Amino acid sequence: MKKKAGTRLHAGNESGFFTLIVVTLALTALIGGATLLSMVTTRQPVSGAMDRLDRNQATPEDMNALQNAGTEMARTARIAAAGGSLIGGGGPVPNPASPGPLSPGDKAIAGIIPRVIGRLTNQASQPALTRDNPLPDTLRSGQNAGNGSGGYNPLHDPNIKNSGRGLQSPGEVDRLGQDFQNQLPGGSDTRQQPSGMDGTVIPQPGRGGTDPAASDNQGGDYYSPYYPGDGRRRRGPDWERWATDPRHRPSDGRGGHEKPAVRPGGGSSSGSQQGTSGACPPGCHVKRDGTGGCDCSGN
Amino acid sequence: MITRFAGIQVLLAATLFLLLQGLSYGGAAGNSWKLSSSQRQYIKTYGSPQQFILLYDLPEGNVSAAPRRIESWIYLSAARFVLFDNGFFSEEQPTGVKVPKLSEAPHTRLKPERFHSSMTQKDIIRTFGKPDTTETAAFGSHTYTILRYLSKARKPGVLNISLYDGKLAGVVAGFAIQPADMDTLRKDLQGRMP
Repeated sequence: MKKKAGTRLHAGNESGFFTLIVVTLALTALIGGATLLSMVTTRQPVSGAMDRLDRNQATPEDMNALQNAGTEMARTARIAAAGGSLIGGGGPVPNPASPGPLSPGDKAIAGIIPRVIGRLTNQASQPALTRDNPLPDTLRSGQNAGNGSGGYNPLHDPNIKNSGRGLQSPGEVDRLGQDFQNQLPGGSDTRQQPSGMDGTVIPQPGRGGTDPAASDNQGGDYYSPYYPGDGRRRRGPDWERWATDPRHRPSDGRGGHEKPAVRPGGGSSSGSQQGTSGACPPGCHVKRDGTGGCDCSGN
Repeated sequence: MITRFAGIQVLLAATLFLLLQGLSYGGAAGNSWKLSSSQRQYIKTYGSPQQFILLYDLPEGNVSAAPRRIESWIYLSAARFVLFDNGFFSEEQPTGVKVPKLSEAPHTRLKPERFHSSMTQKDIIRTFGKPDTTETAAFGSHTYTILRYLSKARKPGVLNISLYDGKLAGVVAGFAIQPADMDTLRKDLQGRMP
């Protein structure tokens, strides 16, 4: 008996399920049909005048009708843009909700609105846009800032001369970078790193304490910073001469050289270096006490 | 038994999915305005416009054609306004006026995307409440209806909505043109009025 009741209950559940499915399917079909119907009925009908215009068979009446439609459209646009205030007789009304002006008497803002409406209605009188006009620079730079590229943009680097003015595109920045590479001895030797902007030479990893002459043999050299565009490319100290200077020879004779930091703006040419620390004047000789001074007492 | 029950469940889920698809497709037909990429870019950069004018260009004699949507977004604090045509960026112009304190300037909290071409007067009243004034004017064989929300304290703030033959024609949000402004506006548009 119990089993019979259970079977009846199960059968009832099943019929309920099937009813639900049938109703759902019917609803789906109804909605689908309605959508299809709406697509068919909302097709844009082409007016006779437009059709004839397309076929170059427009009559003067057609042209008049189209022109009137145009002016009507422009007028409608202006009235709509003015919030209906341009309708004769209608016009704006005093604020019934609270005393005082609606837009708190700001004459400056009131002056903006006619300009905005003017541009807006001018746009309405032109064919509709089908794509974006070029976006302003302010917005484009915003796009760059938001692209997750780390935030550094050489075009906005105040350390680079003419940044944001002369350098207009990343391509131009690349070109300057290429010029820099090409001006280095040995072409595009990527081991050459310009030092910091203060002109301090930072020993390169894996090259510290190396013989300058040896580094020259590898096609390398140290350079003061490169300033793109202003021709202020300056060479640093003449390391060959520096290395041969007896004053820089360690007294213990080990022969290791350590490159000193170059002073900011030092820009010392090899000529100036010769004058200050080069060989002694004729008739003098370098002291043997390791100080590097000249001894002219023998003359 | 379990397999049969699972089969029914799958069938039901599939039917429900189809039903929802049908509903969403039917609802997408002009019932919302999706911001374009350039509009999103402006919102990302400057935020929502502080005032805006939106108008629907309804093609005369072609009632079923999709209306063209032209918008002007005004950024008082950034001293510029932008024009969009069907969502496409058209131009950006300086307002020439810098408003130092936005809190003192009229502005709206409404967003342009809230308005769409299929909005009716009923929809508007349901959304924003009863307007402070309703004006109706005959315009040739057509009818203009203007719903004005004039109280800054109310939910929509200052808002003017124009309907042309019952269809949404224009929205002016954040300000209303006052009698004192009319002379300037008329003078500016005098040469252009057809």
